[in-house]
Amino acid sequence: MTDPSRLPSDVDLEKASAARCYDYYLGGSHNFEVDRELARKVESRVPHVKPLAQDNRAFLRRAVRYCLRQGIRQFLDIGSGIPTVGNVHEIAQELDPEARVLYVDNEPVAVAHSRTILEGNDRADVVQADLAEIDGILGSEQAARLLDPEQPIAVMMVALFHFVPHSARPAEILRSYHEWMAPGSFLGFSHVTSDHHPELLQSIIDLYADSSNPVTSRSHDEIRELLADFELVDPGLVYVPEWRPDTEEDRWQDPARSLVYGALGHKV
Amino acid sequence: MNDTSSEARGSTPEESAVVPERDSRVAEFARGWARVVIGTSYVPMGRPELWEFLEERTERLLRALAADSFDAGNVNELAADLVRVHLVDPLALRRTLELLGSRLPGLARELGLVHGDTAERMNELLASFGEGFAAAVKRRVLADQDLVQRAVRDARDGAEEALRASEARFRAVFNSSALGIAIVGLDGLVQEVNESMGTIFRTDASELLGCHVLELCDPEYRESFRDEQDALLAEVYERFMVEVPFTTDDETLVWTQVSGALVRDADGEPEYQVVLYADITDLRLLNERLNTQATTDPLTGLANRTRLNTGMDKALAPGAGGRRVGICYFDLDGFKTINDSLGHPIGDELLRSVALRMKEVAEQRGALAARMGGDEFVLLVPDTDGPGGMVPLVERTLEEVRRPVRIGGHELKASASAGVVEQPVAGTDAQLLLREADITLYRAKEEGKAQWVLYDAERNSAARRRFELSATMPAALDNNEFFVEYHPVRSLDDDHVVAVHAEPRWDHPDLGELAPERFVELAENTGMITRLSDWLLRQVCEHARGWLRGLGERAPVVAVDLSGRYFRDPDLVNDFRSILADSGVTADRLRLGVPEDALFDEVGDPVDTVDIVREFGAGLAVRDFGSHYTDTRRLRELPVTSVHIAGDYLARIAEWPESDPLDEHLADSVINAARLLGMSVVAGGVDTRRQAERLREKGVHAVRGRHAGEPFSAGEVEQVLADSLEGSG
Ligand SMILES: C[S@@+](CC[C@H](N)C(=O)[O-])C[C@H]1O[C@@H](n2cnc3c(N)ncnc32)[C@H](O)[C@@H]1O
Repeated sequence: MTDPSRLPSDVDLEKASAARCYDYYLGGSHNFEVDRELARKVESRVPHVKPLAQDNRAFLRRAVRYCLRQGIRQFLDIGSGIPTVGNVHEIAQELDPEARVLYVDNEPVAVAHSRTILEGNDRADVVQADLAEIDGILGSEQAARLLDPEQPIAVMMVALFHFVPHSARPAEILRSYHEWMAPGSFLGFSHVTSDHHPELLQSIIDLYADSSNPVTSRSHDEIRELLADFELVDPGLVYVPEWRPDTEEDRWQDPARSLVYGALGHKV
Repeated sequence: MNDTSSEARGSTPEESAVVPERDSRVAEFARGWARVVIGTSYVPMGRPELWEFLEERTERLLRALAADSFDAGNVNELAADLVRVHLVDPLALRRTLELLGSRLPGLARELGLVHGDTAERMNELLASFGEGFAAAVKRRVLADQDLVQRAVRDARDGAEEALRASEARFRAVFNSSALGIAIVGLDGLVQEVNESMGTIFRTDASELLGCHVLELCDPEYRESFRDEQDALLAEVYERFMVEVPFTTDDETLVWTQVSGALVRDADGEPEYQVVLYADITDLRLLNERLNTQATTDPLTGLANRTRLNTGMDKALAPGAGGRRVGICYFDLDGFKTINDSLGHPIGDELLRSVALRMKEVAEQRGALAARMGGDEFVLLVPDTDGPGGMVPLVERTLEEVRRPVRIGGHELKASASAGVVEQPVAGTDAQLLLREADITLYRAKEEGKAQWVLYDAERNSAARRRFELSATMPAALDNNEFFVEYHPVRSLDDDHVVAVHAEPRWDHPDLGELAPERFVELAENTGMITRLSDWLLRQVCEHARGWLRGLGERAPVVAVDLSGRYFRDPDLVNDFRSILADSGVTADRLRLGVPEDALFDEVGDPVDTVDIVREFGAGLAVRDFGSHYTDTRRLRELPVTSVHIAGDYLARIAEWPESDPLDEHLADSVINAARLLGMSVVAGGVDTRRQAERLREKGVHAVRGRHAGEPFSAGEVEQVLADSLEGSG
């Protein structure tokens, strides 16, 4: 006899997970055959999915570095995924070993993975929670230890919200985080779209429909609306290759083919 | 990824010492290298950092190419560096080998590092590089796979741990909860219960095992319980909630609130139900008590308006075969007088006894008796079969009310009036019914009290108009819709105006100007007469003061008619005193006209106000003298200075000598009686000179009416007086 409402979320290896597929696109090996199978299918329809995922990850890096340059020293990375390469704490602590990072993901394997990686690092930790459980996240022992709500923070929600369906009320979730963030804080945000290449995104949506993380596409306007509470750092909400590229060579001929919009919000 | 990219990019100090200055051609080569590997996998650095990283590697490769002896280990390491910065894709290796094979020797030559043939060294170099890369990737994949496997194990352990914890938590809740918890199979049999279940059902918890959940509820509730449960099992609802009673072996009634939810197995198939029981017996008792309090009239214990409304809603619900409904609105006659004369406690006692009797009658007939407030009661009779059926009930009730009541030494005889409405429920509503019954009651009172009247659409609407008129009177007074008009009283001796007679009038916004006959009686019925009379006296005194100021002693005496009800009102004295004080007018400027019967109480003694008015010094006039055939003798005792007579017979005597001898006689006897009492006689309604002459002959002193002059407003009095002097002069 078990209390039905308290069953922990399943560790289901029968289903591909977004986190592990993403790891595959980045070239990681923290994935299983089911994940690779889905990832390869995606690759056959969207041949540039690897560069696409890598560019999203590069956006995360550039956004984190931007925040570091603005003096931010604490990070809350939600939907952090499998800690494959170029994790936020690595980027941040490379510059300032004192920088603190809290990871959040709802996927148990990704969390267990992160926990292993972070062993011995007393300025970074992970919480398993759904993005919407904002009180649970911010009220966790880890958050109490690592984050100072009085200080500006960078909250990273990169490649996360397209896994949040409309029914989960994404705008309300964002508003709650906005409320909690100290003035001067940043929000790193990226999101897939079918604005310019609907056929490409549609195949991704179709393929992910049966995974643990179905995908919801949003338009530029919809995403801008989600971020309405924030001021956007230049150049605003753009395809990720266009967001402050490191060199001119990093630009894409057709940035829209990246399928991902990115923006860095600023709470003033 | 265990190592940070900064580590991987690091180069040893000796190496940097060997190549102090970086040649731009090396940088150029590194950029090309970066270009071909970028995008094969994610490298956690910006392009410039990768350039820098590859420049260093290019330099080391150049040195390896140029070295005297080939160091395979060094090249292995170098390739492994690439894997460390996460250049891991086979494509990256292939492109790197192609680039190195085709361009590295040329670069080395350009830089002057090598001169001869490099083919053999290049082969060694590329082989070592590939070998190093492959080995590093293999290590990395193994490590990563190991890591992710461990993560899965950890996550699973965590999940199981959480499951165990959650089960332990559930156990704790199960055992310690004050709620009764039952695990019930899909067949409805109780499989497991906690201790609280035993407490709730006043038995040993183990006794409950194996019994059917429906047995935990009284038989008459089982059906609805079963319906709920079936809906749950059919997965129509997620959970159900019912309130059911259970009578224990020792006849204790236990009310339980029961909620159930379905638990599914891993495949989502229903497995069992968890049913929670809360003992809500006390809560229900409390609720019932509160409910009774909220729906009972505290004085009489009858239903109050709230309960009446609920009863009406039920009685008015449309039903098969055209339902009908009956309403009786009762009101005690003269209850205010009883309250005023005997005091509230006695009045309350009377209400209680009357209510009790009504309740008995009502309950015998399946009707609901309610108190509306004050001395008003309502009987609600559901499902009547026509107005006729109401009659016995109403008569019986009125009879019961009339039966004398003994209260603390008094034997009281009350009576009531009733308005009865009986109608089909279709086309009416509770508000409408009560209003019609109320108006019908109003008619019953108008028509003489102590009786009942049946609803009649036409009469009700006439009554309603009167009712509405009386209802708007207070607001009309506030809005100054009333004004005073004066009628001259002309002496028949010298034809002078000797007094003025004040008359209230209502300038009604919809109905036009209304004479006092239209509203004074209404005001008496509703009690508005007090305010109206007050207002009239105040106006009159106000005007009288003005006249005194302007005319001095020539100012006329003012006659004001007071209603009998007002005159008997004990508050009159105080009101009168304050009105006089406010205006500064002395009472002798006023003559108060009072109906004859208002001067005496029930046993025929003069009422107290007579003496008081005398003390003030106001004159008293008897109105409608002679119309009551009372014992006129008793007027002798009273400070009455004049009598007013009126009536059609006074008009008819003008036709003398053709007039009716009976009219002549009546006029003579009334006038003579007054003269014998030593009172002056004023006749009203005198319109012609002829009439006036006849009355003068008979001994009348003064007249009112068209012959005396047209009515005028307060401001015109001076003019009227002047005209009167002129006319006579
Ligand atoms: C594509 S990965 C993104 C990883 C990283 N943020 C990046 O962009 O490089 C998305 C991650 O979001 C996680 N995720 C999806 N829905 C989530 C939710 N509702 N709450 C928390 N994490 C969620 C998934 O488990 C997955 O690890």
